[in-house]
Amino acid sequence: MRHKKWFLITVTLLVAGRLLFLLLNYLVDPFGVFGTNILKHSGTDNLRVMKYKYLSRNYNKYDSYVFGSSRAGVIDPGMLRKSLNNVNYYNLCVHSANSLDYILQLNYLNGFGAKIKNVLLVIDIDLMSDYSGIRFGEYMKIGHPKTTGKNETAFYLDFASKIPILEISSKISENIAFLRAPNYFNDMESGVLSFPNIDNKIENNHQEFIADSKGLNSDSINRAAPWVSWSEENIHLLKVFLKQAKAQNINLSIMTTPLNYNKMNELDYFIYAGKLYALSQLTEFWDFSGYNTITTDNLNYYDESHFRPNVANMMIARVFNYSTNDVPDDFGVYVSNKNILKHLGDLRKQFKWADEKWARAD
Amino acid sequence: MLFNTYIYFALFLPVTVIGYFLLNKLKLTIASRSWLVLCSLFFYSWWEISFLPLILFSILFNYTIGTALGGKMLNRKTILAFGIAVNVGLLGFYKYTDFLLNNINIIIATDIKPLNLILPLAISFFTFQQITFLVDSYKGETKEYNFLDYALFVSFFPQLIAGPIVHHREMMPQFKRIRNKIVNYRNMTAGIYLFIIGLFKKVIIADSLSPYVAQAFDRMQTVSFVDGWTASLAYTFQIYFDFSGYMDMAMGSALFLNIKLPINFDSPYKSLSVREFWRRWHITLGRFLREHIYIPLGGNRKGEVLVYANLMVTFLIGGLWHGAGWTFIAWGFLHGMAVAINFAWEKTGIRLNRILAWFLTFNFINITWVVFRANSWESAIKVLKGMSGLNGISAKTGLSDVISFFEILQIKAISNSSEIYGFLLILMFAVIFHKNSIAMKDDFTSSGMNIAFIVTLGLLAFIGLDKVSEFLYFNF
Repeated sequence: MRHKKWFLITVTLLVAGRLLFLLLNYLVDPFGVFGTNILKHSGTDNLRVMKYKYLSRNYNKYDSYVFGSSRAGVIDPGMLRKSLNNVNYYNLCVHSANSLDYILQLNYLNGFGAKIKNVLLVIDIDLMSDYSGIRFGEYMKIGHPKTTGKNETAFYLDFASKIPILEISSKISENIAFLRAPNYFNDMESGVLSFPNIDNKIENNHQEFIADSKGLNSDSINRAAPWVSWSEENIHLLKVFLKQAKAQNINLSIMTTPLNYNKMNELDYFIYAGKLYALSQLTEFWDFSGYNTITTDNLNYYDESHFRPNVANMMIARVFNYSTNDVPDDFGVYVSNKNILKHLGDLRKQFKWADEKWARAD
Repeated sequence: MLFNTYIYFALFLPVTVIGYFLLNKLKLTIASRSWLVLCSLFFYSWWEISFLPLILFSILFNYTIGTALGGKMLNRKTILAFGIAVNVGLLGFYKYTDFLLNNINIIIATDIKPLNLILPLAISFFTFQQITFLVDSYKGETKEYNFLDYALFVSFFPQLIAGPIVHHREMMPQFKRIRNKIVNYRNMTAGIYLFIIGLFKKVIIADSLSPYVAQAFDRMQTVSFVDGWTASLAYTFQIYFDFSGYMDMAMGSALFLNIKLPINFDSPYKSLSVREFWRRWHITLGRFLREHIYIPLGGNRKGEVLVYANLMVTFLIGGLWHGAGWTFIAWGFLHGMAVAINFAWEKTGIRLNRILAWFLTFNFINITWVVFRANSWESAIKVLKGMSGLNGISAKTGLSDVISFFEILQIKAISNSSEIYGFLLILMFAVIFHKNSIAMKDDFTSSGMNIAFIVTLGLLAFIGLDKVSEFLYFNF
């Protein structure tokens, strides 16, 4: 073959191959940013972009919102409607949310001219170290360009130029699996995340599920994980958010996520307590973290980070004082700057109890 | 601008190449070379435009000094010394000031604040390149180059950032050769062939090893025997595939413009001695150190004792050139010692068994890369301690936490972290028994098989391009 022909064929095939990847990426749309919607279910949905787009068209259906990370994804607006009269909540959870997201979300809802009567703020104390930015492969966490101020064309070009093979293949297999038993369901109308397949597994054979789940059966103490103190930036951003919410007369309820004991076992008490203390100096909140009846029972969890809907319902019941009969007494403590020291003392005892129960590895 | 980005190979390179040949076709040869200079400076500034004045000053200064040295002035030696001093001074200022201040603070217990200078990109490379030019001008070995050609020689983008450290004698004539000004598809095919192989080496091989290396060197508190050897071998292959991948891309890019850059790697891990290693690894750096340090010091002409001293000085400077840190100096020292021992051994006339010679050489290189890679002595000692078995054979947690690129690619055979060993074994086999990319290019035929080969490597590399990473040698 002549060199010219070889060169031209090779370049053409490379370009064609690359364009095929681009087409595949667009059609499968593993992060849901293009809105192609041919395949509907994906565990890698970019909720920041998808929910922004959805609310820009439907904000007038709602007057109240849940702000939080994917851990808050199981909080059911239906349950909130039962607890509070005349409210239409939307679960605006996004992956790894923290203070910056709360402000961005509030700003874009304001930008739409949305009514905001109530916000239920669900804080992940352990993730409040910094706004970590986006690591390789975390395209599911990049914000919509209209919320981040980035160039919209550049944003879509950036997504189009990726070849996220893992996410593409996982979305295809997810959608095939969905025909049998859905793994993951992202209901855009309510904003709720659900995991029906895992729920089935837990209900059918919870021991096997726990045995298969690495995060739920470590049963050891390893407090060496590098949890750093709550960053100044996050504290500042949370202050800004609280001030803005107050200025808008938003009825704010704040709570922390109940971490599974396996996750709690990774936390250094003093750093964790420091974060709770810092939060108590800004606002009153319901603390569901620590070692309690709920967090020490693996049946309440999908993994060491994500609790199940029954837990969310108990949290709502406790916070809004609605049908609290099924809620264990030790689940949920109302914390303010007046009782924070006592609360931290109680938590210290819980940490000691855990250290003795699961012998320290460090 | 990085070679492993779409902006480079899908936009910058084609535009530069098309513009160059178009201007040549219109017989605008000065404009075509000016175009290459402009493109090269654009390429350089893409990274950090604030260093553009520095490289422009460096080019202008060295051209002026070189021209003066080529004339008949009486004080040429002083001019040469001045020229070298300014070059070395600039490099030293940016690269070694903070290192010096830190050591002064330690030695005489002062608290002088570091300047936190950012090392201008490519300064280590264009400084050495221009020192060669000055020395050759002094010796009368340079022709009367015009400024444009000189600026192109220094700034030519394929070799600007991380070498090879080219010689004016091997570059200038190529820029002027008439037949190099028309499109040559033989060179184009060789160019794309080398470029894609280099891209694959960088993106798929070197970058996939990077997380294992970083985990052991930068994150783990203690390193076990198994993890220590895994990490050290991973780095040994990472630095080779990273740097030789870069060189393949540089040579490939230059070939599009009909320019042949000197070979910088010749299967270094096949070496049977450390001396041979230095004839195969970063060949153009070795050439510079030999021509401008070892030989001027006397080389092997001034008696046996001085040979060893000269070797040590050359390697210590070589180590220091790679970075301002005691670990780099120690690495240079160890290699200097090894070459000196090698030198003495060769005098005995005893020849080692080839397999044993390879084994000793490879392991020496592998172990000394640990010192080279480590960000601190603590990190180096941690890994070396692990490799010696003092921390136990294997650990409960360690490299198994790493999520590799293969996991992202869903290549199950490698995605299981314990199967990194299989990957390392394949790489070992490749560097010892397989032809290197230059030899592959020399044997290249424009066949359908080679189309399939290059398109497959290219598409795999495109998948890996999502995580653009710098080349290791940009730091040096």
